Amino acid sequence: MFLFNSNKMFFLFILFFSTFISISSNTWFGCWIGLEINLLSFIPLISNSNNLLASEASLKYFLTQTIASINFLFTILMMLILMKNFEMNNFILIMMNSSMLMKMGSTPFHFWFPNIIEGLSWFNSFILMTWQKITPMIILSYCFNKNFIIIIIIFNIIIGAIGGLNQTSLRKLMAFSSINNLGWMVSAIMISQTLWMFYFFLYSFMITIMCFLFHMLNMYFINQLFINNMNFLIKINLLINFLSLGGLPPFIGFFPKWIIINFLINNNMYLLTLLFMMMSLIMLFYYIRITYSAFMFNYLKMKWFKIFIKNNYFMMINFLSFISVMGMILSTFFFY
Amino acid sequence: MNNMKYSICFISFIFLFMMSMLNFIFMIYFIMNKLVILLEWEIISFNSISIVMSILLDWMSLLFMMFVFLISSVVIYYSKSYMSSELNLMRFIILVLLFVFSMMLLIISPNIISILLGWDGLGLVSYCLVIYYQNLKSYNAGMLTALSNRIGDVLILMVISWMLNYGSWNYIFYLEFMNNDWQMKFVSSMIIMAAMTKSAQIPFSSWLPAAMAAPTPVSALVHSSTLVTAGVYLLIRFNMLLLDTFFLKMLLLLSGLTMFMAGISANYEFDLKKIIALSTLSQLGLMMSILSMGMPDLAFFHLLTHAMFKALLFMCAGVIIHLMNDMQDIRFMGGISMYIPLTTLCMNISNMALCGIPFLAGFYSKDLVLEMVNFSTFNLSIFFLFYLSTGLTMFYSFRLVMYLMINDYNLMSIYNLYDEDYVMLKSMFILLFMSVISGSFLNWMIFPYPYMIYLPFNMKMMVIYVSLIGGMFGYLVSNMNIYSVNKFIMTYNLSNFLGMMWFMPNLSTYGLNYYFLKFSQNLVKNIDLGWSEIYSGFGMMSIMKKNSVLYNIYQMNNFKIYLFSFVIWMVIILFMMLFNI
Amino acid sequence: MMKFLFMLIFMIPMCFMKNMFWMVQMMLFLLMFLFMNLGMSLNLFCNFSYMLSCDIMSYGLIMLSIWISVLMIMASENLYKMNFFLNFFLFNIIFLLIMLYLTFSTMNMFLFYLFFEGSLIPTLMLIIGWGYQPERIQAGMYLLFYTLFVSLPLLMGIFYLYNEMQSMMIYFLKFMNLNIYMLYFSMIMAFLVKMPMYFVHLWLPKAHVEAPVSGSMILAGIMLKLGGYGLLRLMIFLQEINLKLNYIWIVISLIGGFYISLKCFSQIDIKSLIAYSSVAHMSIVISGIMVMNYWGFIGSYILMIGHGLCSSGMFCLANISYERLHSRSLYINKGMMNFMPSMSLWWFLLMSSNMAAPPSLNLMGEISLINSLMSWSWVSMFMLMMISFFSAGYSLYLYSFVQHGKYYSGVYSYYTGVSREYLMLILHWLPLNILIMKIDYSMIWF
Repeated sequence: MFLFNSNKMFFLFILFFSTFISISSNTWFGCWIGLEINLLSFIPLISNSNNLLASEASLKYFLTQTIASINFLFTILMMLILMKNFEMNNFILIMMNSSMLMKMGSTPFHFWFPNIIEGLSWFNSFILMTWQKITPMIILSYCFNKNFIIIIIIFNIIIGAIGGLNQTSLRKLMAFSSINNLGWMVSAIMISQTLWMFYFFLYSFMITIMCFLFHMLNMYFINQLFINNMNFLIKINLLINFLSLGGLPPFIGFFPKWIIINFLINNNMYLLTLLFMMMSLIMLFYYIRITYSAFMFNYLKMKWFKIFIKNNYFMMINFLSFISVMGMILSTFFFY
Repeated sequence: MNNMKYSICFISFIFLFMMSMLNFIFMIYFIMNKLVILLEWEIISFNSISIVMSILLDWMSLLFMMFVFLISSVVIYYSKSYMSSELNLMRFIILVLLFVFSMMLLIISPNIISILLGWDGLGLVSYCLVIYYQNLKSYNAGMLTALSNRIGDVLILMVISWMLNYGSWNYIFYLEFMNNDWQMKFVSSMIIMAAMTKSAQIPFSSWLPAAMAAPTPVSALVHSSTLVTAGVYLLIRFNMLLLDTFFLKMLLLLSGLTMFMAGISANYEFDLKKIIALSTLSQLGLMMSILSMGMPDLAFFHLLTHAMFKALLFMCAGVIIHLMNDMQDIRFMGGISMYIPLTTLCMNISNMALCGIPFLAGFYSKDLVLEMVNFSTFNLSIFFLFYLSTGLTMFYSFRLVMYLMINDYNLMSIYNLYDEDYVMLKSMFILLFMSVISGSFLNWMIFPYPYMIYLPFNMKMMVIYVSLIGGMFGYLVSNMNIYSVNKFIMTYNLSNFLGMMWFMPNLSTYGLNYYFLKFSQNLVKNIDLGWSEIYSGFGMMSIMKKNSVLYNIYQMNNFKIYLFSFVIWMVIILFMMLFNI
Repeated sequence: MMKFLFMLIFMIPMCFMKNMFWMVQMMLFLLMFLFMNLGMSLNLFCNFSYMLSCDIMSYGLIMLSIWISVLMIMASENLYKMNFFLNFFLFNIIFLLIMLYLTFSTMNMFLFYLFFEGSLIPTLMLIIGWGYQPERIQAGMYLLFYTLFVSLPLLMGIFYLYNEMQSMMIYFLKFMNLNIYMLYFSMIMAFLVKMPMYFVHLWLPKAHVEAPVSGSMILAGIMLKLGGYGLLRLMIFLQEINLKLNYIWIVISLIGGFYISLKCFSQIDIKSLIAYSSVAHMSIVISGIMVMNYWGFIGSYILMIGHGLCSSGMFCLANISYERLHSRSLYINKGMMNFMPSMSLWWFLLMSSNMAAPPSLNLMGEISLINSLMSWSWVSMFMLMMISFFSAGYSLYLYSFVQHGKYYSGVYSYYTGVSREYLMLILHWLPLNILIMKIDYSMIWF
């Protein structure tokens, strides 16, 4: 956590401000400025001169995001000069959307995402998975090409599901899950922006718990989960949160998926909904594979493997998981 | 505890005997006044059909119940001594009482659903009784019994659903009116088949000899008089439905063949209880065939008298088995007439009644049956079947008498055969009394006027001729020694065929099992572990895994290629835009 | 109806207190008796309160689920002795019961779906958490994914209905006349897989065998009936299409039932045999519902309740043998009559109820179902004869193999049945055989 490092804290604040600049600007140019400041402030957060993998990740991040921003700037200028901001034909929209998709880490430009996230700590990857998506999503929602976006959504969910099946590193797994959820979020954008905000808020809540939990347990790979003396409640928290992320009722993770399916069917997009559901089943499969350690109370325990886990923020995680379990029921109280 | 074991026998005996006498009194009253009482309790009524629990008390059901209660009371009293060394005698008596209860339910019900209750109960309780001794033979016999009976159960379930057509399950009321509908033809065929399974006609006759693995009191009660006659009783009740149908003629042929087959096979058997079982099977064939000639009251008459002497015969067999130290093979027995005269007396009288010696119980029913066969208009093959079977009856009975009583004792050189078991003797004497007088008594009660029979002299004496010839053959066969067995080897195939009950036990067990089990194995291999797995769990999983591995190849690439591909994409889109404007 | 929900919710803290294992069971008994006093007899919704209500189908099934939960706790005394995550186990059972109660008593289709899915999670936890063998992971996966794969299209169908009709109340479903084939298939498949029907039944043997005794009991007792309940609800508005297409399901179920009955003979695992016999019984239930006459609905309802009690009792018996011999294989569990003769009485009674011997509820259900199927088409007679005969065959096979014969000579020490086990068995058998006296509670719906 960066609360104890004032340099990183500085860059974190600039990161937050850059997003605000982007989303509250009137012009395309303002968006671009925000995007650049975002890039600038995120690089120092990631890079760590002690860790080779982190520095490499920061470099890769820089390259990809730069290319995306440059293309975005090019598209904006072309719109300004060639078309005088009047007509937006399909192709320019495709170019603009493509650069935003690359910013977010969405298919077919997502190949950097699992690579980079492998080198980040949990807090950084949390920021990468949640906060960094806000700006590109909002810019995407300003104008998008519907046919192109639907193809992108389909690719997103398929790649997110199938790519994640063969992973053992927890961060890569969360990256693919993030790609899948990007598909859901972009489809929410297609319907309405409020819907996207609702999905995004609940998704980031779930990712918060996950990243916090894994950071506290200091686990980066699946085989690290099978340790002896994990406190039973931590196991249950892990279980509940992963099942919630997979979208199983009655946890809170089901709520956003339910709403999106409802609205998709209201707009008669049946095949897309079917595809969403089938791929989310595959996602659920590898989430449950992670939670085997929590499900099985009896498994092979090694005698010499004694690692002690600090439980500093235990209460916070319990509280957040409580919301995860009871969230749906509590939220009904707000509507009557 | 011992006292309680014996006293339950005594109490049940008194209770059942009182019930039998009560039924006797009511029966006489009902016959004299031509009274029928039908009690109904409606359980549920909806959709224009109602499930009722009915009790029909007419002379037939009261008479049959009287006989059932009498035999069961005597058998329970008998088993007080026969099964006295049994640790779980309570369980045995309770099972027998449950059996009697199910039989009673069957007898008094004019309603096909309550017949199902009794029928299912009979099948299950007879399974429990046959497997009572818990050895391998009983286990196999029990399985064969239960599953053969189950076929009948399933057919009665189907009859229930076919009868849904008529709006009521009280078949008594509408059998005569509806017997031309094609649905009723289905019903009649299924009823006939169900009765055939219960009464062990061909092709379901393999269970009856096998069920001799049960204790002897059970055989006396179940396999001589009550369970196996349930099928005949069902057909007697359904008689109005079956007259002049094709199925009845088929039943005539099958039951005649059963009669014949059982008679022949009894001659090859050396196990005492199996001979008596096959004799029961032969008499059942007789009952069924006279029923299928259209004379149900004669079938009923023979059913009742047969119950008496067959139960007595089984009980005598039980005494003899006890005395021979649980040995059942008749080649080891002999000369019992010198040592146990009272038992010999019972055995002789029941054997003679079986053969139809004049003025015993069997004479009235069997002779009347044979004279009616003579008087009827069926063809020569049926005639032959009947008379040959009658001859065969005398044949095996006389052979049995020769082996048991006239030849020498073959078991051990030091022996003690005693006749002082008064409990068993008392029960046998009650049945002895009944098997002497019940023929004439029933003759006067059941038939308000005698049958008109007008036969030439030789036809009338045919029975005696055939019996004498049969008896002579019995004497000859029982004198065969080891040396003469060689003649059997020359006709080995024929002897095997005739002696193994025309291979029916093998056909109904090995012949059927193999094909069903092989079929099930193929199903399991091909569908359950084959196609279903490929199209659902396992197949999907392997497809996903392969695709994921394939995707990983795309993922693990040079970084510059990603960036370059993005640039190329942009250039393509740019050119497409530029060339379209 | 809310009062029972609150009683269940407030039992949750009791699960976490010390030494309250049997108290929870007693409270569930109390809940059962309180619920029985509602006195339901009509096919209309009664006892409204805050989106929960009860009609005749829900009434019987809620009572069955509470009863089986009680018996689940009674059966799991092994966990109590070993103190193996006991609090969480009780919490799982109460949570599952809450989900089931809400499923059966909610009036809203979407909430029905929500709780239908929600009841999967505690079942999964029971199987994977307290099961005995490594194969339980695969079993849990099969259970979860088979159910989810077909119930997500059900969700789509429900939203489509909401889009068209603007209401999700079950009572208003009868005003919908939607004639869309895709909707029919997507909604029906969820319940057919849950039931299960023949080709999609692969999850059931795995899940039943690998689950601990409480998991098997609740799976066989209630979870299969969720499918039947859903079908009975859906038939209200899918009538037209169903009348055109029901022959598919009936044919698959009947012939599948025949095949499964044959397959039972080749099993060597006791629980596997009982699981396959569940599939065979449920196949006739599916056919009965699909035929859509009154006899069919009634027969399937009665057979569901009867089968729930009977199968659950048989799993208890299998567990009683397992706790002593630590094996479920037929080659080791034999000759039990020599050790526990009183228990063989219960084996016989429950096996005979399984093969529909009088006077059990199974017989009544089978008679009604045979009547309904024959009135639909008399050709189904042949398959029904086969299914009925073979059900007697394998029930007797299981009984005689486990009880009779020589016992396995590798057995060292033994103890006969304890009275808790006998109580459990009589609590299974007695409702099964006595309820036939009061059959008009289940048969008269109007």
